[in-house]
Amino acid sequence: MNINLQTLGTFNQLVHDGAEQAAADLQQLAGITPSVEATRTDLSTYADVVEELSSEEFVAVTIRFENGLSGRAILVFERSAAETLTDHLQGRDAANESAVSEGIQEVGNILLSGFIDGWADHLGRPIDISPPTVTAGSGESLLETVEGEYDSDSPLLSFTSSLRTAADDITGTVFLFPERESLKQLLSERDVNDAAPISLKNLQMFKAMTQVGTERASENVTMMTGTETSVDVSRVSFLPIEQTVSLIDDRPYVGVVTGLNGVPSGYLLILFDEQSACRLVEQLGAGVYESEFEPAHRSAIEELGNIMTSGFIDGWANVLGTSITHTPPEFIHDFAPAIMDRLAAELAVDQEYVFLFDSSIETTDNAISCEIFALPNEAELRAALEELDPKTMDLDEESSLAAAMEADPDEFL
Amino acid sequence: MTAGVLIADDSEFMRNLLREILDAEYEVLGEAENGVEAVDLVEETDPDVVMMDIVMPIRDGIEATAEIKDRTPDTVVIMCTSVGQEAKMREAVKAGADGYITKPFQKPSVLDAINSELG
Repeated sequence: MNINLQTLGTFNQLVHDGAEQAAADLQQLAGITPSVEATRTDLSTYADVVEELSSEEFVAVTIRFENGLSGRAILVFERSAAETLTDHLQGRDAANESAVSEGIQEVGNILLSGFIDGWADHLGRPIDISPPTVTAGSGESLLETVEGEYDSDSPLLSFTSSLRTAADDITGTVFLFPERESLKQLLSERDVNDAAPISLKNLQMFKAMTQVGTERASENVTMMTGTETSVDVSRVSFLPIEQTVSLIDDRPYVGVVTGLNGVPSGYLLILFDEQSACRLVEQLGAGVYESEFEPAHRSAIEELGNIMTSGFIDGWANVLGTSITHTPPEFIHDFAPAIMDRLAAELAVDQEYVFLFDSSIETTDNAISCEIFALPNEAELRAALEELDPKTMDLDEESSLAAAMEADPDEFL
Repeated sequence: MTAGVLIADDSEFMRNLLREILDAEYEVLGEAENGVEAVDLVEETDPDVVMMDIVMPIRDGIEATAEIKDRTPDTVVIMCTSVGQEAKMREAVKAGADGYITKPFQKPSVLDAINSELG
């Protein structure tokens, strides 16, 4: 399947508009005023979504839609948020399990219908909706309503938008899973005015390369700190540049920003929360953190960032048969939105939307966690994707991809 | 006679780490923070070996290697870098690099790389 980025941007905006409508509906229903956070289009798999929803207990409302567009829409609340929301609904008591279920079903029905209505209006044709089904739990049990409809590891293009209220800490997330054939047909119908569409398969391969790159970066952290690490999550999202700011919490972070030059150019951001950074400088042998990051601490974090950056991007360059150079890493210590905002402003000169490659690394003792964000220039990422030939390697065989990404200096000496 | 080594890396952290590894077996003749300083220090100290980073400000390690090899072909240059890209390895070898080790490294790999070049 090929995807046209202009069309994808339109769909992303439709989901965002749907979320705005849902926020207004929620205000009417429950008297709360949520704001709509980043709306993103994710290239993931069903297994990724199951994992994302496995961290705690949730309550979900699922509807099936078909005809004009076919698929599933799922509204998910954390269990505690579902109970708080139920309390806000007139005549509902969150202590009563069936009241929570009925309340969330009511909310879900109205919100998801509003979502789908926006798509129907945009497409100019009706979309039929099934009655909502409520499930509770986590992971696969939460998604039992869609079990068997999506292959566990096949690429899944999903649209995600979150509503959040500051006062009550209610976060609701809408997942929209169009069926592959339905989405393919829809994409092929759209007017295409911009550059050539990109191949979903190539994007999937680039994502797999990012996963391997993150594992390399993770191994580098292990070697430098002596602590075992694991890759927590790896995701690729397509979203408006200005919304990247809300993808990370608003705590202060410490890390490095590195400029990438080559195909693709762009930025790589490696961030540690402050506590992780304090432990990290000590583990790197750069001295104990007392009240501020001293030059020796900064140098250690910059060098770790340098090594992690290479681990992350070298594989891209080796598979593409090119070179991607990077600037010396620049130490940063600031609130995450301020850091992201600066990079977004620089990328926004040339583009409205961005592909964001987002990975997390964590030490097995949970003492250090790290977020890696790659923000490539869109046009150059497109050029890079065109250079990829997924036929040359077996994507199901991670070792084959990892081998292609590795280079041995002894071959050239 | 103890061999003399020059360290060229823009990271103070990495220069300190390399110095700790090298001090016991070699004489560290100096430290450069960029390619220009590395070329100047080679001229000044005449080291047997240069441990050369690639990504450095002002002038990168590959350009500096080419200039050092042009001026003093007998100086051993070992790239000591985080860059693991095939294209960069080719460039480094073309510039005259004698060895190539990638960061993060263990102490034995640094010493082995130098010892194998010095025979």
